[in-house]
Amino acid sequence: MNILTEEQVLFFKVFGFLHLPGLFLPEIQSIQDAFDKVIEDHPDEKIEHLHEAHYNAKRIMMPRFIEKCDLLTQLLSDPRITSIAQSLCGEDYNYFSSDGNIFSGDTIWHRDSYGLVRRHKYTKFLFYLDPIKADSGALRVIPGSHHQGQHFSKILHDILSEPEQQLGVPAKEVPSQVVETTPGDLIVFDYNIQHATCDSRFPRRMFSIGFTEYFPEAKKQQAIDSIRQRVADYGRIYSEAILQSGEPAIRDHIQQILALEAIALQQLGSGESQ
Amino acid sequence: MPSESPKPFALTEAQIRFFHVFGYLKLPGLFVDEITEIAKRFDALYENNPAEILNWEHATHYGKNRKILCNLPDRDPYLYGLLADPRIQAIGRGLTGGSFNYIPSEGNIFSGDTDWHTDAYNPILKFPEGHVYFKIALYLDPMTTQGGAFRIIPGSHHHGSQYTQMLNKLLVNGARNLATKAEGIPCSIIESRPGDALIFNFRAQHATCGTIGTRRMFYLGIAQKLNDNINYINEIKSGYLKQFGNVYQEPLKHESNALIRECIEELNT
Repeated sequence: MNILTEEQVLFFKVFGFLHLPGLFLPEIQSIQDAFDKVIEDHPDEKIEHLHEAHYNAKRIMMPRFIEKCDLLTQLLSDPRITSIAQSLCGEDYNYFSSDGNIFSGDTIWHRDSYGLVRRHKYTKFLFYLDPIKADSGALRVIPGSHHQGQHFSKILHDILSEPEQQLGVPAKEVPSQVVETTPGDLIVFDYNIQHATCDSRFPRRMFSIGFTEYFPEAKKQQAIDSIRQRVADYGRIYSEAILQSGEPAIRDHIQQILALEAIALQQLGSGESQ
Repeated sequence: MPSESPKPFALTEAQIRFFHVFGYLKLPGLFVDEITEIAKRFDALYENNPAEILNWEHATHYGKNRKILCNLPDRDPYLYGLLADPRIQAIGRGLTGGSFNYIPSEGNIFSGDTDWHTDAYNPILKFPEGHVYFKIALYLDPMTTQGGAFRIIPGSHHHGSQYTQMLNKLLVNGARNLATKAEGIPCSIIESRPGDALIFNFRAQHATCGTIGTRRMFYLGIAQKLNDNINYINEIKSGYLKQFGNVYQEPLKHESNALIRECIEELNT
């Protein structure tokens, strides 16, 4: 079953994002309930971020989020997710991260590719759990800004931290596509795309699932370096629950990163291998 | 020519950067004091030159009629006089980095929408790679998101970039390759009122959707000087001569104003 048409895959390749309205509408209530329960049940795992990327407004973040709940973990074997991941990252894609978030404010223009392997495809699936409009904090993306190494991408990277000074316009007037969402929609974007949120008026719940292409031999060392940093920042890539999963759609898509993480852990001198 | 001396004007560094990064710039109300006179002269030129109006019907315009009057500004000293106006001079110099060429420009009355396309066709394509050239477009009717406002893909003008190449290939037949209508392409929608100036790079992908009635528009084409590079100059001139029979029209061809002469001397025949 292919969820995406060839044209949608092409759209993603060219513009760096896709909006799939209502793809998870039938089960959105149970997904919202699961999100709230995970947040409530794991108070010790919440990381409170105060970062300039969010104008120092509070962001609650929880790593390995979907792995804390069976219902959300099952998304990794949901044919809608696996089909899209295959279309965008190849049949041998890697599942590599998930986080849950409650944003209290806006987010400056930025990319999510910090610390990732360059010129390698990473794709983020976002579930916003509250209705969000252009004037209430909807995601904004700059189509085409994800093409790494290209002039447009590089220059945006250089100037978007100060849109007012550099371009003479506030962040929300930077030319972009506003992706208004209703719970049940899925947004998929390239980790390298420039994105922001503006005019937030209430806390926004969002969780994401990250996938990447299989790392070829030539990129393995970079991948190990990236994973080593990630482990240092946020701990092990996967939780015990996911490691124990017998579900082929999960097991088959964590093997490469597990192997690379083992090497990274050795390099960190932790003494752990698996 | 516009008689009264307009207010001093200069583009800010941020506006110049905005234009170069995204390929367009809107200057609201820049000609609001003159737009009634400009529109009157535009209409008069259409009325007085019926034999020279090209009724163009093309797939880019979904087969709807587009009335083109080539070299429209050249035919009226008030309109080509805008080239000497401090605002156009400031835009031209600000975006090209010095004195500039006026590129033959036309008037248009569109009866329908325009699918995605660039304006980089011959003889524009004869300019050197990476050359800065753009249109200063003046829409003479209010344009809204639902009613035919100009749409542009920010960043689609960067010559040689992967994104530009992909877009140019993808949009060669409009939005059809993405199985969507023109409205489905991510873009900036630039609503405008008569008197606004809309500047965009010839290479930027643009379109209009939802046109109600007709849209009147003319532009002044501006390009960096070729700095006496005779090969390019001859190639571009011959391109215009071959395609349109001339580069500039009378009375512009023999205009004596020094600023205007500076804009046409390199390509004049």
